Amino acid sequence: MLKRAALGAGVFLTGFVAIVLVGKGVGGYLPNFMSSVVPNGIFLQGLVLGALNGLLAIGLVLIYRTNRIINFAQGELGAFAATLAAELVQRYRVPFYAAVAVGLVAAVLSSALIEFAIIRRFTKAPRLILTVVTIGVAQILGAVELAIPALLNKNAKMQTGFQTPLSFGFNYGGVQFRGDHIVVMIITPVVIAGLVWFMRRTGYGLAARAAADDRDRARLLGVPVKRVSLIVWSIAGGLSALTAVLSAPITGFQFGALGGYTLLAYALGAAVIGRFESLPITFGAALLISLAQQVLFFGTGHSGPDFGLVFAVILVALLIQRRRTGRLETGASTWQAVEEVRPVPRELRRLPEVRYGRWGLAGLALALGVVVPFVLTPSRTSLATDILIYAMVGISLVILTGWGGHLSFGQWALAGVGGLVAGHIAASSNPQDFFVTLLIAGAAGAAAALLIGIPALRIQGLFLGVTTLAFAVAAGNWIFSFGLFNVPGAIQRPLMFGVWDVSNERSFYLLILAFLVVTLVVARNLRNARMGRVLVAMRDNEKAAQSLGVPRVRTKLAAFAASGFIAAVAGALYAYHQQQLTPERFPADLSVFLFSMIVIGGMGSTTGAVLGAIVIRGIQYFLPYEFSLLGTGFGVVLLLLFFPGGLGQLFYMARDALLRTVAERRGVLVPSLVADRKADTVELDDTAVARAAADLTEHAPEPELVTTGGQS
Amino acid sequence: MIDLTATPAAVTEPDPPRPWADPVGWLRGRFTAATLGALAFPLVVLFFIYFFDEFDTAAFGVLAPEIKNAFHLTDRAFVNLIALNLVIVLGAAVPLGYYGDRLPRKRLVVAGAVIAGVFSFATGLAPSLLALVLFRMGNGFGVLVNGTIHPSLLSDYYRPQARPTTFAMHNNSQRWGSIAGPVIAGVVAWLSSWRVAFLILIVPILAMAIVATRLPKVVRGQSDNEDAAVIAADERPVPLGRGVRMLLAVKTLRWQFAAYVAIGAAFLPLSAYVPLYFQRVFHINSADRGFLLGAGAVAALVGVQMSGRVTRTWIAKGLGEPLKLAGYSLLAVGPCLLVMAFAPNLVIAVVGLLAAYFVGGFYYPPFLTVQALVSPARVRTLSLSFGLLFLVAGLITFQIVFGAIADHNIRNGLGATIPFWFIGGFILRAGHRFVTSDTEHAFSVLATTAEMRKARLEMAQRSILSVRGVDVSYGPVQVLFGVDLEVAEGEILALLGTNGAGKSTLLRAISGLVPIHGGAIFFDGEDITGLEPEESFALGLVQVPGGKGIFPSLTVAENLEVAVWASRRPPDEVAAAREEVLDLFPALRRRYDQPAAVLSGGEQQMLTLGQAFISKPKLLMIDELSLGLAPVVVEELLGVVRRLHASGTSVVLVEQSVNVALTLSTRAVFMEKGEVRFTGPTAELLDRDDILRAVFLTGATTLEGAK
Repeated sequence: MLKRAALGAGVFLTGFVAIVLVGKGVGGYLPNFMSSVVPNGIFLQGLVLGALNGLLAIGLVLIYRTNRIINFAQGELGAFAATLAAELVQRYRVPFYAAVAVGLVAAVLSSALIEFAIIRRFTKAPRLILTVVTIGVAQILGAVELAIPALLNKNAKMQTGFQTPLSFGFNYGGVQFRGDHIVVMIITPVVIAGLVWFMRRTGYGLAARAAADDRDRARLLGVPVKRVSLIVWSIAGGLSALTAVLSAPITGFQFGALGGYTLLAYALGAAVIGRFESLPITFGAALLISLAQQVLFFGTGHSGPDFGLVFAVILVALLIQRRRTGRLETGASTWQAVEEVRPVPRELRRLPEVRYGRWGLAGLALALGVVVPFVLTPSRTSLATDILIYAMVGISLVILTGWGGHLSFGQWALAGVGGLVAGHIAASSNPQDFFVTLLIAGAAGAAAALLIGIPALRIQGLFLGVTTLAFAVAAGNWIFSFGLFNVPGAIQRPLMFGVWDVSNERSFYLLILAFLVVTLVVARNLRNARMGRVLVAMRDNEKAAQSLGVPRVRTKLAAFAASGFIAAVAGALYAYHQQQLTPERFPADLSVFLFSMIVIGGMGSTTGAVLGAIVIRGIQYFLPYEFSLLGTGFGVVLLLLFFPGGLGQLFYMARDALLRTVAERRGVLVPSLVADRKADTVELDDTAVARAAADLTEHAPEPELVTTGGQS
Repeated sequence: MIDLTATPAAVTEPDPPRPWADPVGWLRGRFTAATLGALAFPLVVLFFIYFFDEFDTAAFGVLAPEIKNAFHLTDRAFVNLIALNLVIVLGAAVPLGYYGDRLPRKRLVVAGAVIAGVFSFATGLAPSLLALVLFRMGNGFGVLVNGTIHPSLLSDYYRPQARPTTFAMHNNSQRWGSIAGPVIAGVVAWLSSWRVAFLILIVPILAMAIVATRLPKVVRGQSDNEDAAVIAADERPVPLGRGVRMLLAVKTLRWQFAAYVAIGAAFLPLSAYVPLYFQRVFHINSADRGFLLGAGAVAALVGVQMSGRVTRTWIAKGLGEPLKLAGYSLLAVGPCLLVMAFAPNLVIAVVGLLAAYFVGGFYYPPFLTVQALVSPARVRTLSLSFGLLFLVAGLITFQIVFGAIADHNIRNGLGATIPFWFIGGFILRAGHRFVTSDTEHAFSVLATTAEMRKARLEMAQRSILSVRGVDVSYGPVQVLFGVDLEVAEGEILALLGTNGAGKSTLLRAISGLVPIHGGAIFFDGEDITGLEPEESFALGLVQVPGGKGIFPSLTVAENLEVAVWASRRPPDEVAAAREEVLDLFPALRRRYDQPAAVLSGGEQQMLTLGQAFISKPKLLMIDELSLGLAPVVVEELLGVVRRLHASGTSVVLVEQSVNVALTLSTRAVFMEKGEVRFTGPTAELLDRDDILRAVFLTGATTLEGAK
C-alpha cells in the first residue's frame, strides 16, 4: 500500500514539474504555439480549478463503481444547489451559509430521490440504456434549474453572479486570488480524504466496494445493495453540489447540460486515468489536467488547444492501460441495447397482404414526407429539413453503434467535419460542383472517422463513448477553428442538374428528402449485404467472428468509414441548408443529444433513427426551451423504462402482432413469431400448429448417454 | 378449480315482506338477499357509514358553483383544489392500506367515521380557502377509510359467491347517498346557505360510528379458506415494499392499475365539471342541480344493481369475463358523455347525463370483484388503496394537459375527458386474459401456506425448507415447472441433475435473486416467497454460488469482513468464527492481506465457504462446490461442510457429479428439464437407471455402501 502511494506521489510530482517547466521554459520560445511565459499564479489557479474538477471526477468514479455507467447527470445533480443558494441569498436575503446548506441538502435529497425513483428501475437493464437515462435525467435537472427562479418568484430570471462573504484576497504570481479560491484549496483535500476513509474503512464503504464487484453475490451475503446504492448516489449528489457551490464564484454557472459537456470532458479525462476505480489517482489526474489546461490556455493566448489536450490525454490513457478482465467494460454484450430487429419472416414474405402492406407503408411514409413542405410555412419547412438532416446523421449512428457496436458520442462532430469542409469549399471564391463538394466532404468525414476508428480497435464499450465525447469537445472548441474548416462567407444553394433551383425552402426540403431516401436504401442494402452481417457478427462475438475468418481491423474501420461518410454528407447538406456556418453550430452536447435521440427512436434500425429524429426534434422545435428539456428528459426515462428498444420497438411490436394475425388467418406456422410467446397464451387447436407439435413430441429422440472421459 | 356458481342450500323462506307493509323487514330482507343468507349486520353498518359519507362528497360536488364563488376560484383552480386534496389524501391511502392489513379494521372503521363527521362539520364553518383545503383533506381522509377498509372487511365477512351482490349493495349506499345527498344539500343550500348543508351532516355520521363499535370480529381470508384463521394467527404482517411487489406481480392488477390511471383522468374532473356545466350553460340553481344529480345517482344505482346480477352470470362463464363487462361499460360512457356535453338543449343534456351515470354504474361490481379475487388475501387492503394512487396520477395528468380547457369552454372541458373513458375501457377489455390464472394462484398460495402450517405443527421432524409448486421463467421461457422440494432440519440433501436442469435457478429462486411466478417457499416456518436475498440471508438462509463467489478487488480479510458486517452477530462470536475459518484454511491465513483475485480456484472456494461459515446459517445451499477443483481440494472442502453440518446447519448440495453428492448426503433430489424426477434416499437413486442415463454416473455404482 505504502509503495503504491509513494509511486503515485512520484508520478504526480513528475507531471507537475513537467507542466511547470513547459509553462515557464517553453513559453515565449515558441511564438506560434506558446507566446507567453506562464506566471506562477496561473499554476496555482490551475491547481484550484483542478481540485474542483477532481470533485466532479470522483463523483463520476463513485457512480461508475456502483452502477457501471457514465453518469452524464453528474454535473447537474448539484448544479441546482448553487442556483437555489444564489436565489436564496440574492433575492431573499437568506444568510449565506444557511443558503448554501439548504442547497447542499436539497441536492443530496434529490440525488437520493433520483436513485430511488429512476436509477433503481434500471438495475437489470443494459448499462448503455442506463447511461442514456442519465442524459435524460440531466435534461430534467436542467429544466428544473431553469425553473427555480420562476418557481420562487414569478417573473425572475436566472442569477448571473454568486456573491460569497469571503471578501479578502491576495495576489500571487500575477493572478488575483480571493477567499473563494482558498476555500477550495482547503475543503477539497478534506473531502477527498474523507471519501477515501469512507470507502476503505467503514462498513458501508466496504459494502459499496463489494457490491460494485459482484452485486448478486453481495446480496446473497446480506449486503443491502439498494441502500448502498442510495448512499453512493447521495454522496455523488453532495459532491456535485459542493463542486457547483465552490466553483460558482470562480467560474460562474456553467455546469452540465446547460454548460455543454466541456467540464464533464475534463472530469472524464481524470476518471479515465484513474481507471474509474482509484479515487486518489483520479484526483491527482484532475489536478494535473487542469494545470496543463491553464498553462496551455494562458501560454497560447486562446482557448482551444486545451480541449485538444484533454482528448489526447484520454486517448493515450485508454490506449496504454492494460486490460484487466472483468473490471473494465470490454465486451459489447454488456451494453448491447436492444433485441435485434427481426426481418419479416420468410414464410410470410411472399403473401400478398404482407407485400402490399410493406410497400403501402413505405409509400404512405414517403407521401407524408412529400406533403410536408406544402402544408407548412417556409420557416417550419426549414425546421423539417433540419429534422431530416438529423435523421441522416442518426442513420450513420445506427450503422456505427447499432450494428457495429461502437459507441459514438461524437457523431455530430463528424457531421461538422463534413459541413465545415463543404462550407469552406462552397463559400470560397472557387466553389466546386455540388456533388463534388459532397464527395469531398464525405471523404473528409470518413477520414476523421477512421482517425477515431483506430483507437476503437483497442477501446470498446463505454470508454469508446468517452473518447468520442472528448473528440466532439475538442472538435467543437478547437479543431474546427483550423483553416481547413473556415467558412469565409455565405454558401449558395446549387442549381441542381442545371434546372432545379433549390434556393427556396420547399424545393430544398424535397432535395433533402430524396437524399434521406437514398441514405435509407443504402443503409438497408448495407445491412442485408455481407458488410452488415459481418458487422453484427463482430459486435456480437468478436472472437468467434475472427475465428471464422472475418478480418477484424478492416471490418471495424470500414464501419467507421461508412458511418463517417454518411454523417459528413449530412453535415454538408446542413451547410447548404443553413447557408452560414460557424464551428459553434457543432457543439458536443448536440452529439450527445443526437445519441439519446437515436436510442429513443431505437438503435437497432434505421426506422427507429428516423422516428427518433422526428419525435424528439419535433418536441424541441415546437415547445419552448424549458418544456422541451423537460419533455425530452422525461421522454427518455419513461420510454427506456418500458421499451428499451425505443419507439422502434413499439413499431416492430405492432408489425409483429399484425404479422401474427396474418399467419393465424392463413394457418401458416411461423416459429420465429411465436417462439417468444409463453405457451399458455398461444391457442393450440386443430391447425397445422397442433399437428406439428404432436409430431415432434411423438418422435422425440432418445436421451444420449454422456460419460466422463476415461472410464469404460 | 374454483366454482363460484355454487349456490348454498336453498333456504325455505316465507313470503318476503312488502315495502309498504313492513319497511324494516323489507329492508332487512333486501340486505339478507344480498349476502345470500349470511348475517347482514356488518353490511348494514358499513352501508350506512358509506351512505352518510357520500352525502358530504355529493354536497361538495353539487354546490361547487356556490363554493367557487364564496372563495373566488376559477374552474381550473377549483379542480386543482380537488386534485390537491385527492393527492394528499390518497397519498395517505397506501399507508392506510398497509395498516389496514395489520391493525384491527373495526377500529379503523370507527375512527374513519368520526373523523369524516367532524371535518364535514368543519367544512361548513371554513373561514378561508386554506381552512377549506385543510378541512376537505380531513374529511377526505375519513372517507378514504370507506374505500379501502370496507371492501376488505366485506371480503372476509362474506363468501366469494356472495361478494358480487354484497359489493353491489355496499356500493349502492354510495349511490343512495349520492341521490339523497345532492337533493337534500341542494334544497338546504337553496333554502339557507351552502354551509348549513355541511353542518348538519355530523349527526348521522357520529351515530353510525357508535353503532360500528358493535361489529363482530373477523379474520383475514376466513371466507376464502377455513384454514386462514390458522395463518392469520401466526404470520408477521407484510412489509410495505414487499406488499407492493406482491401486488405488482399479479398481471391482472397491473392492467387494473393502468385502467385506474385512465379512469382517474376520465372521472375525477367530472365531479366538478358537471355541476359547473349545468349552472353555466343552462343556469340551473342549486336545488334543481341537486335533483338533477340525484336523478343521475338513481340511474347509477340501477346500473350497479343490474351489474351485480350480470356479474354473477358472467363470472360463471369465466373468471375474466367481469373485467370485460367493466371495460364495455367504460367504453359506453364515452358516447353518453358526448351527447351530454354538446347537447343543444337541457332535455338532451339530461338524457345524456342519465345514460352516462347508468352505464357508468355497471363498472363497479365487476371491477372490485375481480380485484378482490386476484389480490392475495394478505395484501387485499393494500391493493385497494394502492390502486387509488393511480387514480390520482390520472387526474394529475389530465389537469396538466387538459386542465385549462374547462376555463375557456366547459363543454370542451367535459369532452376532453371522453378519450380517457375509451382508453380505460380498452385496457380493461384487454386485461381479462389473466384473471383466471391469477385467481387460481392467489387461492392456491393461501391453501398451500395453510396446509404447510398445519403440517408443520403436526410433523415430528420439522422441515427447514419447503418448496411447493414453484414456477420460474426467464422472460418468456419457462425453466422451472412446479418444483416441490422438502429439506428436513439437520439433513444434507443432494440436488442433482445435468446442465440446464434448473438446479442453479432453483437455488437462486429460493434465495430471491430470481422472481417466482407460481408456488410458495417456506423457510423455518415463515413464508419467504418474494423475499429479497438480503432479507432471506438475515433469516439464516445462505447460498454459496458456484464459480465466482468472492469479491476480486477486496482482500481476503475484507472478503471475510463483508460476511461479518452483514450478519450483524456479536463481535466476540464473530472474531471466534473468523479465527476458526483461518484455522480450517491455513492458505487463507497466509494470503490474508492479498486481493482475493490472486487466489487459486480452490482457495477461492475456501474463502467462499469461510464466508458462509462466519454467517452461521440455518440452511446452507452450495452450488457446484467441486466444479473445476482437484479431488484433494474437494475433499478438504467437504470436510468443512461436514463440520458445518455437525454444528447444526442443514445443507443442500447441488452437484452435477453424483459421486461428490453421494459421499455426504442421505437423501437426493434429481431434476431434469426444470422438473423433479426423483426424490428419496440416495441408495434408491442408484437403482434408477432410467433417471441416471443422462448423468455422469460411472464409478458411482462402485461406491462403498452404495448398492
